[in-house]
Amino acid sequence: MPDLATHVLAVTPFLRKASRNPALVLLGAVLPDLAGRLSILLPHSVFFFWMDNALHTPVSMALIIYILSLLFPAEERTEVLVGAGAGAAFHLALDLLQKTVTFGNLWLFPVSLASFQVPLIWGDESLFALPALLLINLMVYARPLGALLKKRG
Amino acid sequence: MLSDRFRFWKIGAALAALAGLVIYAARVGPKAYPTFIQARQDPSAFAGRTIFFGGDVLRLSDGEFAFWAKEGFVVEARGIIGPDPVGFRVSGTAVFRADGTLDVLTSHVYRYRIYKSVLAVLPLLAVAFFFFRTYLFDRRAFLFRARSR
Repeated sequence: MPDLATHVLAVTPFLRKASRNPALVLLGAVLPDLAGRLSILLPHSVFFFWMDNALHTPVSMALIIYILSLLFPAEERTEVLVGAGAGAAFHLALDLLQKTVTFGNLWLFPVSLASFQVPLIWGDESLFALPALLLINLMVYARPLGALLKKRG
Repeated sequence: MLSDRFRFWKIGAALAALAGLVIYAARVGPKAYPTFIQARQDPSAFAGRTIFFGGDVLRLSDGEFAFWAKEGFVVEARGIIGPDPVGFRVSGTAVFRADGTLDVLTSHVYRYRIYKSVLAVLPLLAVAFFFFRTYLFDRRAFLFRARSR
C-alpha cells in the first residue's frame, strides 16, 4: 500500500470544498491502515497476518465506519458515514493502484479471496509522489492560508 | 440503523461480525495463499508447492541469498532478486523445497520501506491532532462530541 503521507496528502486538496467536516475524511483516509496493521502490536502469527488482511477490506471498513458512526451523536452519524467512508474509499482506491508480487488486497472478501490490482506503482515508491502532492496542496491552500494569516495579523 | 435505540447492541453485533470475518479469513486465507511459515511447519506437505514469502535480506552470493523472516529464523533461497538487496525487505513467490529452502519465482525488493514506515508517523500525528482538536470523547455518554468553539 502507498505510504500514509501519500494517502493523506492525496485527499487533502479535496477537503476545502468537498467536505463539511475534514477531520472525519482524514480519519477515514488513515483508517484502513490503522485497522489493517493492528498486528504490529501483536506477536507474529498466521492468525494475526490474516486478521490484518481481513480488516483491510471494503466490507470490514464499512463495519468499522458503522461502529465509528455509533460513537457520535445520532444527528451526526450520517455525516460520519459519508465523511469517513469517503476518506476510506479514497484510501482503498489508491491501494488498488499498487503493484505486488504476492497477493494484493482482498477486494471481494468474504465472497471471494480473489485478489486483483491495477499495477501502477510499488507500495514503497509512492514516496516519490509526495513532492507533487505537497505542491498541489500548496497551490490549493496557499491563498486561503494567506488570507487567514492576513486577517489575524 | 443509525438511531440511539440498541446502540450498544448494534456496536456489539458489528464487532462480532468483524470478529467473524477475521476468523473466517484465518481459516480460508492460509489455504488460498500459503506462506513460508505454514510450509516450515509441515515441510513434506508443502514440498514442491508455490508459497509466499517475505523478509529482510541478510546476504547474497552467486544467485543464492538468505533472508531474515519475521518469525525469527533465517531462510536460504535461490533465484534472482534485484541488485544490492542486502538490508532491504524482499517478498515474493517461491517453490518450497523439503529441506526448507526456496526457489524464487517472483520477487521485489522494497528499498524505500523504511522511509515509508518512518513517514507514516507524521500523518498519523497530524490526523490525530486534527481529529481531537475537533472532537473530544465524552466517556459518560460514550460518544465523541464536537468541541465548542
